Amino acid sequence: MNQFDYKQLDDIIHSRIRLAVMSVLISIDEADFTLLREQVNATDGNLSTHLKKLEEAGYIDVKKSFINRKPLSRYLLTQKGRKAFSIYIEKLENMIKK
Amino acid sequence: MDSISAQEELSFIKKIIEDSKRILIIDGKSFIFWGIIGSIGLLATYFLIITENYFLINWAWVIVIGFGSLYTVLYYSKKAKIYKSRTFAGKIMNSIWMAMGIAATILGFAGGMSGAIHGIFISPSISTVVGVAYFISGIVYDSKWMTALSAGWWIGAVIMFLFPGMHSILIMAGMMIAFQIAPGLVLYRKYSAEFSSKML
Repeated sequence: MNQFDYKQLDDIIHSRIRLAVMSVLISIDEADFTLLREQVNATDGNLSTHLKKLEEAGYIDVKKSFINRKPLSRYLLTQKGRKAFSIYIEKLENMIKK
Repeated sequence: MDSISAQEELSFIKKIIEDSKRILIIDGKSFIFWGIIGSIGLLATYFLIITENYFLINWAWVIVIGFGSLYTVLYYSKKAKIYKSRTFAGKIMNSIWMAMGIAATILGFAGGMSGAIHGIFISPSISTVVGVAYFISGIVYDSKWMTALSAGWWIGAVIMFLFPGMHSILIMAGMMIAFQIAPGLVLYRKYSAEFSSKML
C-alpha cells in the first residue's frame, strides 16, 4: 500500500458531501435537513442519499419529530461517528507529515 | 491521495467547521419583546413619578422584569425543542444578552434601592451596558449596523448623564423604541424572509 493511498481512509467519510456533513455536525450539536443542505450545498436527493449512508454506518443519528404538523428531521453525530471522524483527520494529518 | 490533496481536504474540513461555528440565527423577537417590556416599564415609571406614587416604582419593575423573564424562559424552552442548531456563535450571543440583562437588573434594583445610583442615573447606566451588548453582538453577528447601534446607546447615555432630569425616562423609552424594537423588527423581517418558510 502506498503511504498516501486514499484506501487508508474511511470510505464512508471519504466523499465530499459526507465529509462536509460530518464537518458541519462536528461543530454543531445538531442540524436539520435544511441547514445541512445550505451548508454542504447539495440537492435534496443527493443529500438524502449521503445522509442515509452515514446513518446506516452508525455515524449519524436522526431525530424525527413534528412541529406544527410538519415533519422535522434533526441530525447529530453519534459517538461512533465522532471517533471515525477523529481517526479520519488523524490519517490525513499523518499523510501530510510523511 | 498525495500529501497535497490531503492538505486540501484538511483545509476543506477546516473551512466548513469555521463556517458552521459562525451560523447564527436571530429572529429578532426577543429584541422586540424586551424593547416593549422596557418601554412599558419606563412609561409606567414616568406615570408613577408624575402621580407621586414613588413607592410603586420598584413593584412596577418587579412585575415587568418578572413577567419578561418568565416569558423568555418559557419561550426559549419551547423553542429549544424546534431550533435547528445550537452553535458556538449562538451560545456567545445568548450569553452576552443574558449577562446584559443580569447587569441591568443589578444596576436597576440593587444600585437604585441601595441609593448607590440615584434613580435618575439608572437609565444612562443601563444604556451604557446595553451599548456594550450591542457592540459585541454586532461583531459576533458580523453586522455593522448592529455594532453602530451601540453608539446610539452610548450617546444617549452621555446625554442622560450630562443633562439629567425627568426627561431622561422619556429619552430612554424613545431609545428603546429606536434602538431596540426597530432593529428587532428589521431582524424579524430578515429572518422571516430567509428562514421561517424553510425551517418549519
